[in-house]
Amino acid sequence: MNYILTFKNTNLVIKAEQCLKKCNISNTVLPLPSQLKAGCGLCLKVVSCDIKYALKTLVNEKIDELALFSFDEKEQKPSFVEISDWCILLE
Amino acid sequence: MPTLPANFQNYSEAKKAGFLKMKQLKEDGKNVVGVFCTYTPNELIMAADAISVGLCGMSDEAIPAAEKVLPKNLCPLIKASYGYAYTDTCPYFYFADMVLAETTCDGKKKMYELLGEIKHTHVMQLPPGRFGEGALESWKQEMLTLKKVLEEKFAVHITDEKLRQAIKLKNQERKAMLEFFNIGKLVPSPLSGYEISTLMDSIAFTFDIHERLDAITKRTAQLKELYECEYKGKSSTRPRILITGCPTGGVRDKVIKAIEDLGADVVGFECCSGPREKQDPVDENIEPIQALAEKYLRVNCSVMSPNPGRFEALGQMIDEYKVDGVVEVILQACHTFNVESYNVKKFVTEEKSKPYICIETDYSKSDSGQINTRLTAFLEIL
Repeated sequence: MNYILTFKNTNLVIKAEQCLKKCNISNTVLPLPSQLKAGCGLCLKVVSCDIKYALKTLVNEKIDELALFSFDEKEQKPSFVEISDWCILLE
Repeated sequence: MPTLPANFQNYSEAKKAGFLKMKQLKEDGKNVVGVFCTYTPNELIMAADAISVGLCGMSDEAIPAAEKVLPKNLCPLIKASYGYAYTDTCPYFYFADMVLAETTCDGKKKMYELLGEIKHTHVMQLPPGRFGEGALESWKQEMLTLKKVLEEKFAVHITDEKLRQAIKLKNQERKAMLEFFNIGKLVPSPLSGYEISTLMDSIAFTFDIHERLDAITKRTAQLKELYECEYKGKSSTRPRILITGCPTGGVRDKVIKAIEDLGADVVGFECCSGPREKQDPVDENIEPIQALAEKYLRVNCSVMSPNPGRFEALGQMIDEYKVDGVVEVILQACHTFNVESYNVKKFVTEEKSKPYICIETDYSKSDSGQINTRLTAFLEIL
């Protein structure tokens, strides 16, 4: 299972990407999958094992206006499931 | 009926595919100029070793945000373009180092003032007509000012040699695109209007001119072969339609696709998505700035007053594309095209004796049904 983080604008996507990079958290900027609706046309992909640390890092940097979706990369046409209560992952 | 190629990407897919290429180019240190219009002298941007990217808004998603600042009764293209910038939801706008715009219509030029509050926006003062005394001289001065602005912004020196190379390359691209458009002249046409319109709007997201040239040349060759094998000598009952008027990118599905789904072929475009500026190359034999000023002042947009070149192009296209009817697309509140449509209708119906319909619309889907009904009735009379 991997994760997609969406943001309301491009500035936040790039800020989040750089913030995660600085903390050596692997992430990939991707075009927003057509199944998802978000403010901006870009999003970040973070792998399962890094997601908690990534979210904590972003929240600490006050980049917390985001939406989180899980998906299975092995599926040809993956379905994205929104995790609206992602804050519990921080505990 | 023409079919789309197997690897066809719709506009939205092509736009998205370009995001990462653009991001990579920025990370590699490339300079990027956001542009809006056919009047943009792309050769100067190329000669400054920068990349241009189109910023015209073609969907209604950012319009509600734009309407917080701009009046509601404004052209949807202007509102959409501003909306994306205002909400920072277009990565191309985000990655652009500056915006290059021209004083084309009143709505755009006032919007550019607001855009300038978000990002460095250089506005070229386009003369309101081609023939006024001093028009060319003033436009040439604008070219020189732009050259200086680009040189200062990107700390580069735009030499005549670089400019001549850019002119030559852009002319090659124009020629290749013109050959692609000419496929629409074949009877029956193997090329769908939906493909023409999509390709012309989305090819701008391929930032390397050589890649663009290659893609367009390959597709033209494929279509020629397709015509020889499957279309040549066959008759078609599908009426041949010419589109004229405003840019159609934001209404592609509800007008262009609708016409083709209703049983007609859109064979040509007399608008910025068509051969309008492609058929008029930059003169490679005179001083480059003068050549650019002359060329870009000849663009037949309705913002020019008077605008006889558009009627010449329209007449020529109606004949050469063997058109059965003309559909004019007016984006709501586009006053220049809307006023000019009176003479366009007279020209098409009286001088060329062809049926004509004018569709005034915006980017919303709310009038799709109404447009379909009107187009059905129009196609029935052809």
